[in-house]
Amino acid sequence: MDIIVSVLQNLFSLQALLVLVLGSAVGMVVGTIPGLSASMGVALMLPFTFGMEASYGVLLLVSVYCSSIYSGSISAILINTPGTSASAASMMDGFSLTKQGKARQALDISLNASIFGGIFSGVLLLLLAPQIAKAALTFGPPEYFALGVLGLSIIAGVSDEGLLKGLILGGFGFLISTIGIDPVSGIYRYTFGNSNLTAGIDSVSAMIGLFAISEMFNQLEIGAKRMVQAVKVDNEGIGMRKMKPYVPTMLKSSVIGSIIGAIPGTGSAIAAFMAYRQAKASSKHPEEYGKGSLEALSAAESAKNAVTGSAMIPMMTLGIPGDAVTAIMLGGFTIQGLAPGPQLFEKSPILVYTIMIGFLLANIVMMLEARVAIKAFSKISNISNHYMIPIVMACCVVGAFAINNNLFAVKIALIFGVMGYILPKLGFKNLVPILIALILGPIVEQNFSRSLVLSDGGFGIFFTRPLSLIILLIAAGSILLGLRKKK
Amino acid sequence: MKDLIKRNSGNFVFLVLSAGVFLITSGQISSKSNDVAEARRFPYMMCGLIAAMSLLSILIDIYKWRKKELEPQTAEDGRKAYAWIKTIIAAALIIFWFTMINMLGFIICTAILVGGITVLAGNRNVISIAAVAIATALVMYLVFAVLLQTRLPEILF
Repeated sequence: MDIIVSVLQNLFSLQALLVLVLGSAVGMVVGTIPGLSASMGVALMLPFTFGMEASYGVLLLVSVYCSSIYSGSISAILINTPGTSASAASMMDGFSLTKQGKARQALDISLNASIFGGIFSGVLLLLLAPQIAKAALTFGPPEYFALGVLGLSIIAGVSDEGLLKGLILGGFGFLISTIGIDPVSGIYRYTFGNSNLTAGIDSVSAMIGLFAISEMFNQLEIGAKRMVQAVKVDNEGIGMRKMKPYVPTMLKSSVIGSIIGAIPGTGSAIAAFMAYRQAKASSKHPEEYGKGSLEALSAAESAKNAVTGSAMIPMMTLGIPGDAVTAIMLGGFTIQGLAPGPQLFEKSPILVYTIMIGFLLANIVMMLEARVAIKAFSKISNISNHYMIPIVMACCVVGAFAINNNLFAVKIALIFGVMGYILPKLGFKNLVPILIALILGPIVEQNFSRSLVLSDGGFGIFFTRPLSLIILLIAAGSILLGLRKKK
Repeated sequence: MKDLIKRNSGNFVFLVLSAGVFLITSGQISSKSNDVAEARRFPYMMCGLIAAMSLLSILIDIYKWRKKELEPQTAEDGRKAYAWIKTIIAAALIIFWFTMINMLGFIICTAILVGGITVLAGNRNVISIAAVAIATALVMYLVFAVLLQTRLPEILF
């Protein structure tokens, strides 16, 4: 009882609320700007936590994390460019809705589903953290490989121009992902002596080029007055009450997101794509997916934010970061003199529960702030192209530069921009398979090679481990189901 | 026949690309260690996949063309001739931005980029173009350099 009182006193203090409000605002700015990632936002806030009390310092980082993962979808919905790679799955339906004049609805669905996923995983964090962490640790390279394959199976679902085109683009994206040092042998591939290529192609600069710069090129070519043409912008939003039809989808997606998030080294992008695929397979209207389906958007968004809470589970219970952002947050814990792991729960229960309940509060504060911001954001689609194109282009160029403070990323974004402009003219209009393969390629390749090292080159390892076999069967089943539904 | 070639131009591009990458892979990824085969595995697999799928797409279209089942291609939505020149100029402005930024500085280069693209977007009002260019460059500088502490090229002007 004393613990609960102390936790509530901590959380409902003016300092805590200020920290949450500030963190959410910073996260929203960072997440919305293409090129700035959630990990950059958290790293940026890290120095500010030096002088803070431990619980407030960690709460600041948590609120930046939740908010930046959510707000990556704002630019995905409005200008067809995900602010972070986590929002790539939301782009297809989100931007289609904006083109139909339903930007406000898309933004509302995105926010409500993100809050749902975030709170769902926050409750899991509070109730089941140690158990989930133990289960997630049973994942080895074969399981990670199978998970990557399951993620790639989404290509079959999103290839509305035919599976062959989807596979060509997927293969192309995978090929691009092999640029750099081979993860197992350490051999340089396609670097041509350029040191900038040794780390491979950054998926965010590729994304900025493929979807945003190419879209701006197209807008210039068409000479349209507005990005969203001849459509009345619907200002009617979607409140929590109207979310009822999407609750089953959000629930399933949140479960998927929570499971994926708890597995170290996966991340929000893979969770969002998997939830999208699952939702499409079980939907009554799969034909609407990719063309502006609110259900699809709710699936991707809830899974994406469900990752935030569960990614903190291995970090807090075992000291193992779930993704890049929690790795930086782990640094935040160290700054405060805390050592995450089982002992943290015994030594500092008040701090642990302040963070866990604070996570839920961070989602609520984010919702309140975003509700105000959405009204302004939804009007962006009304701005004339005379202003919109140059501003978005400048954001893309500077955003690509800001990823690593490197001009090379701008060159990459431009190359992908030209690619995104030319490929539709060659009959490849849906470029999402390139992005999926670019994000998941390294996970698949790395874990495939590692598995073969473990098994001395035997492929049986993927089929003799129950978890790996089950995931691969699900992947095969979802591809077949997707193909059958298309027929 | 012309329509068939035009329709499959993308597949031909990917077919040539996969062959090119295959040749580069066999030439460039070379080492005396035993790991070479491992490093080449996925690139080879992907080249094979792309080539097979492109070839299959072409063959399916040839089959449909011979059976006269191929639907005529719809024309592009009324785009003006030479409209792609705007794209080339926009790309050139981005190239200008990243080649000149270390010489001219962030604000000037960004203002030129934004101003140039504003003109390409159809704005002919000089005051409006200048205002958008300068304001965008300054806001970008404030957001990235001041608020987000991004290390922009040091020369300001």
